[in-house]
Amino acid sequence: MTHEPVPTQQPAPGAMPGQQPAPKKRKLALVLISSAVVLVIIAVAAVVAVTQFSGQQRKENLQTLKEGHLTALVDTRGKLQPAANAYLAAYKKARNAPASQEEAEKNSAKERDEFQQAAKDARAALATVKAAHTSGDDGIGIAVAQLEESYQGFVDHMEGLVESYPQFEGLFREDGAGCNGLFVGSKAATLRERQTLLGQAAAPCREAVGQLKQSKNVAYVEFARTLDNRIAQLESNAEITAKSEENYNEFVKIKDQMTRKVDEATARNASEQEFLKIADELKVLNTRIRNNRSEFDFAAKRYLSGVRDMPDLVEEVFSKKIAAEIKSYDSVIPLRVQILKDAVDVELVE
Amino acid sequence: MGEQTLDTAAETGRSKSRRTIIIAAVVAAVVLAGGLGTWFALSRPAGVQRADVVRMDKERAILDNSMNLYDPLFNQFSLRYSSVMTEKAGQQEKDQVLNRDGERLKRETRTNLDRLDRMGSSPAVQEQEIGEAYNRFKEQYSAVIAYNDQLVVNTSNINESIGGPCAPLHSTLNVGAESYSEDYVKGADACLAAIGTAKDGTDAETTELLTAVEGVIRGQRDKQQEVLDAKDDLERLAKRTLAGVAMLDINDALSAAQTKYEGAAKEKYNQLVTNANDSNKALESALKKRTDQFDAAAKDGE
Repeated sequence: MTHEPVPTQQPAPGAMPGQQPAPKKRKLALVLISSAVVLVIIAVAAVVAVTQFSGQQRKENLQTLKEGHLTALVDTRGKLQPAANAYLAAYKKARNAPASQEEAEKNSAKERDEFQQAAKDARAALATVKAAHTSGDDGIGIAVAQLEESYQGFVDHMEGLVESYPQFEGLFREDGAGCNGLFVGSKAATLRERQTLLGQAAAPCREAVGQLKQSKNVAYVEFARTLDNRIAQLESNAEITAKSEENYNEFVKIKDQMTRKVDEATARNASEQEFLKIADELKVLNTRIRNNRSEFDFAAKRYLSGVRDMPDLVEEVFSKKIAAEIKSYDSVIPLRVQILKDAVDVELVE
Repeated sequence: MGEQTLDTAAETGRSKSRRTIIIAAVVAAVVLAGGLGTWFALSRPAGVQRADVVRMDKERAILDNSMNLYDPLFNQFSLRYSSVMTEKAGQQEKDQVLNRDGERLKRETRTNLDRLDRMGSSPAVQEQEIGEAYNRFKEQYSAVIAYNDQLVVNTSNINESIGGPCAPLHSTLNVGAESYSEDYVKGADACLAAIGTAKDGTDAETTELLTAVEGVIRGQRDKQQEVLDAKDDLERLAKRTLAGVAMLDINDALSAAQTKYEGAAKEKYNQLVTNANDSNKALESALKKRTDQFDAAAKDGE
């Protein structure tokens, strides 16, 4: 139907050239109209083709997103943790060689570069996924944004783990932050000396701990916060016990004085009133001794448990905190990936 | 224009009919082109299609998977929050946890509710069986979402009270110290005030926990107040001994309250999850039944 008018009209202008001026004009109009019709048809066909094509293109893009880009994303993520572990092991080995922090960093540079490459690949894979779908508020866009947040969190976590590791590892090393100096042990003859030694070790240690608080890795940050508080408690308890010990020595002196006082009063047959007064003084002294003792016990117990728990605290950074973080990402990210795949499927259903 | 008018006047019958044909052809072409375009643009017949059903089933799977995200995300939030609280990290760090991890959970909830609504806009829900299954699904999943939403509030409020001002009462005060009673009363008052505030917005189970803890702390506080109010040393000693003995029970009382709370919360959540799983299965099978019907019809049609 549509094509009929076109061929029937086209010979018309040619069949009657210059016969009459008026029909010639009309024929011109007819030609224009029919060309317009042809143009409209072509345009519609083009629109239809473009729609079809872009629909096809979109479908292919989604297919690539789902099968290509997402698979690559999962793969690059899988490489991150082994690369991080390789670096941690290499660094630790180098440090134990023994070597200084700088040397150890140099000797583990290969592993560190490999990790950084893995992290870069991971971020690139994420960027590819993001670029594959630009509209943000449809089902796919939301799933992409959710995946991005979790994935980014994971890469940040791993990067922080690697970047701050020398700092973390050096905390309890003598040529590092020297936090091991907190374990004064039998090095001190008196509790005051212990408090002084502890204070000396605590200053550089807490400074390093403060730096670790700036890490990108939450597990390190939380650990640093706890360690900082524990050291502060150690310092405060060391001060209390040192003070108590000094008080105690004072009490011994006062006790001797009191003994002499009683002896002397007995010798000169002092009045009952005087004895009562001495008894009252002794009672006050006793209360002070008891309180001093109670404070000492409390602080000493806390000091000891603080020292005893510290290795566990360090140990748990990897055995518990980082393990828990990674476990969390390990359950979240595969779900996010699956949700994105399903969101793509929703669009691909025919 | 004027010339055209002249042409019209001089028109013959033959060219008149020819013009009609042309006009008809033009109209026909335009109509056809428009129709073609519309057909391509919409290119879907009316009524529920197999694609609608399949699509809805995918959306169902997305929601079902999304529910599994609450657990790890919530744990992360809860661990970070309690670390910030126990280590007294400061307002800035606390805000960071609340804004990052707490907000993430809230966003999760908004997204899931949107997804539930979007499922409801599927033409497939017009069919009675699917529609009913969807309504149950929506109801149960909304309940799970609401529970997780509430969990954030509960956790925050517990952290701000029991994990906040109440925490040092039974961990850092020296029972042997002279000032113990005074310290305890002071600490307990701060703790009780925090519990009072914390009850705002918590669910029944959490409120019960907070009330139980409140009762225990208030009892201890009053005993220590009696020590402070004692008229002489001997009375003070007696009261202090009594208060000290009563303190022995406090751990049992507190852990009993906690155990009860955990049990109740677990039971509640398990029930919600069971219901949600049932509704999920029902919707899944309703959708599967419908796709099977489509497939069977397509086979017959061949």
